Amino acid sequence: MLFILPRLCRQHLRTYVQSNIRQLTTGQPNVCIVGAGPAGFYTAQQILKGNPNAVVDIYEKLPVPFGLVRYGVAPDHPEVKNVINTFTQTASKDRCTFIGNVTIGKDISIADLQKAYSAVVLSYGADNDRLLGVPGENLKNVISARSFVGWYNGLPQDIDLQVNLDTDRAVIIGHGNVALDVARILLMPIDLLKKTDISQHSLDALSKSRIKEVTVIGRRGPLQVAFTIKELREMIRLPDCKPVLSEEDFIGVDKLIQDLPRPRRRLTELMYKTCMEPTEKDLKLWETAKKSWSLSFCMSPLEIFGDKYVTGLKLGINKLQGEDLVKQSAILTDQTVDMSCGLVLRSIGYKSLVIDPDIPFDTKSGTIPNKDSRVEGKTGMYCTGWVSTGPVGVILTTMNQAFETGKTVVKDINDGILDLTKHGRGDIFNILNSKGVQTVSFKDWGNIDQFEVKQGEDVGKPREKMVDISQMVAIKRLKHALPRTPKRRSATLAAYLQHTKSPAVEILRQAEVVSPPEDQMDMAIEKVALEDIKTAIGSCKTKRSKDSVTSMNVLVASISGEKVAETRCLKSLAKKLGLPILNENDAYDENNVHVYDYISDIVDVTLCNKEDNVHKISRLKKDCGECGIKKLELLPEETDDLDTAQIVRWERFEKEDIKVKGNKTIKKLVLVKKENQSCRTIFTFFRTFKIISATPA
Amino acid sequence: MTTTHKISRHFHVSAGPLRHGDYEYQDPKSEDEVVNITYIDRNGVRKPVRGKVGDNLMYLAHRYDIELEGACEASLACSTCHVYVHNNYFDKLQQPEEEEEDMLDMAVFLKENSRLGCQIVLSKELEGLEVTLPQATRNFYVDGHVPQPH
Repeated sequence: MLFILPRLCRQHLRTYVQSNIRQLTTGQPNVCIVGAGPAGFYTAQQILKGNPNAVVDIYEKLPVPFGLVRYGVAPDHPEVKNVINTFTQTASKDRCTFIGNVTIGKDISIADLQKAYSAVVLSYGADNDRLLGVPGENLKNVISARSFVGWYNGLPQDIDLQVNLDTDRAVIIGHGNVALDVARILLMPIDLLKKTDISQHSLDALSKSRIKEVTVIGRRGPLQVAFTIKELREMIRLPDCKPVLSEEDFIGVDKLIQDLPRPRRRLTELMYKTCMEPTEKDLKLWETAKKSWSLSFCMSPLEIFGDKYVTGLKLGINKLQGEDLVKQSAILTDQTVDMSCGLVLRSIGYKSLVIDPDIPFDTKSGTIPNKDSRVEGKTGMYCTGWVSTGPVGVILTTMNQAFETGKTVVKDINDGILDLTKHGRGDIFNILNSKGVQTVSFKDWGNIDQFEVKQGEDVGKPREKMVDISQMVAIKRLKHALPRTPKRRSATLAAYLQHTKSPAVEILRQAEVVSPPEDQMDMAIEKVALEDIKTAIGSCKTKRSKDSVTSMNVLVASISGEKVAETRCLKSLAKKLGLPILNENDAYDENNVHVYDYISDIVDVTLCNKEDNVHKISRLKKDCGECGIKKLELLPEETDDLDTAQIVRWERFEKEDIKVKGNKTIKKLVLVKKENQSCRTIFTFFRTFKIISATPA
Repeated sequence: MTTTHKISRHFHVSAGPLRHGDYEYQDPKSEDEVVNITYIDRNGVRKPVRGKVGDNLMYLAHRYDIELEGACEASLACSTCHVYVHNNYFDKLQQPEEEEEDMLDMAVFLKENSRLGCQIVLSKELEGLEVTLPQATRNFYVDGHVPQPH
């Protein structure tokens, strides 16, 4: 405890000083942003640039930043993710703080934020997806494309999604970029996918996929598609896959497109040419294709068939109506058509959620009502990104809008509209502390990032995303539980590193939380430091959910060398976290040198086993070639002739009585460390005489 | 002296497009390398910049704090570095690749002389180049804005 108190004091002091300094320097605008996606980061960038005193805190529900750039952008589009570098620059600024693993609306309310910050910018995106609203939508293998994207991108909430790819045909409903992304991932050669940062569980599932045919269905026609040309071109050039477009849909389209705006014209032209006038090169490419995808127009799903799993759907045929060609709307006719399929992916758009009752919300459009990013009727509250516009547009759209939002906030600060006497994050941190919420900083994200990249290197991927939130938080939490001074920290970990090869330590080492132990550490410090970790973790685990408590127990156990396999629950969790499950037997590892407790042990070892474990009397005649003192396993320190070898350090697991509540004692497996004087002289003596060396001790 | 300039340019081209933006932070080594260009920002303010042969127009803008983003870092995956190239110079630039055209389709307020800044590499022929940054706008293309056909 002696070692913890000063640290805790310092921490408290720091928070106290920080919040009070803020108080003294009133006039400093404290801004918070809810949601660390592109909209949030671009808004932060603009505010930091526009006001040299502004302090921006970015809150995120997940422990990791970047929102849809990390969890939405398709794994085969790494170049789109380059924008992370810009966001990293923003987050690395002194006046910008990333606060991950905080759920606004649950851990902290909007009212709390408004009390603490001059401006609250909501940029939490569109987390929910739109439903088709047709019978059969709840059948198995009718999946939202949003969840499917989350599944292959390693979004923690979606990793357990049940996707059955043991079917010939998949139907995707929707004509947007998400629909094409999903189609591409389903059809892409697995060898190409392997090199991306796609999550391993999805890669495994996709490599067993039987899907040969993907039909992408839209309710309107070729002139109304919402996907963009880059995504379409990728689909057309997908290796081993042939695009199927019906000529009926494109007859006469070439005459309509000349007057269209350029983007729409080029997009339609590409579809038209692919259908009506494919080039030699294209035809050659498609000739040998084993898979295919098709674009179907003017169809709306009316019903999804199936018993338990989906087996097909009924589609209504639409006709288009309206003067403006691009804005024509779909009108359902009496005609229907049935289509069989084993997988339906619904990609008809996202909508935002109401995360806190204090946020005005338009449930019809699924957005926050706002004028120029200012939330209606709420001074000091802003919104930007998909939560304000709905889920449309590419990153440029979001960027432009976020910049405007940032400028609006800066303008309102300068115009004196906002209350600049707010104290910032101090109060929020107090609430988080009292609730036992473990936040994740941008530096912590750096550790996770490094770890992911390292994990990816081993399998030839840019990164292997960590999908387990508890693992992310565990890294962070362990790091903070460790002593702060580098010497003590490495001493603590060194203690552990020396006696086990736990993946947990491997995680910590790769995350550069610990450097390998170079210095010999002082045993006393090490012991205290280990206690320190336990106490620190113990103090936070009382306030957290059952799950995180268990995960921390496992980690503590694995660090301290305690036995983990107490209950089945712990065992399975340990497995999930990739931690070793220590069994009693493990304590006696063949690779380790035995510690001889009694003289009889030594005698046993120096004797060979013969005839029902009974040693022949002949041993006394010294004629057994196998017996003898040479059979003793000796450490270099014990036999080394150098003068440096004075002390032999050893350690092993021993069952010890430990006192628990109610004056009871339980036996626990603990790591015992001791040291002995070297018996060098004795062994040197033994060696000198050859006869003795063949004699049992 | 002309040789020096040719060598440096050749070196740049052979190394492929520089994508990290470090090169743009080096000052011109000699007057022969200098390419003077002008950015006209979103408020219409002219900002003359002394660039050099081989500089990437987008990264050069970053060096001189001109508000030109580069989200995808010159990998043709966004159109955040969209600029208008003044007509006399538009024809001096290399024809845009298909990928650039595809990305330009996403740009706001697309015009005939639209290009992506990251695809423009300065050369001596571009001395005096003027590029204008497009207006940032609330009426985004996806929200109903229809770019003018051309």
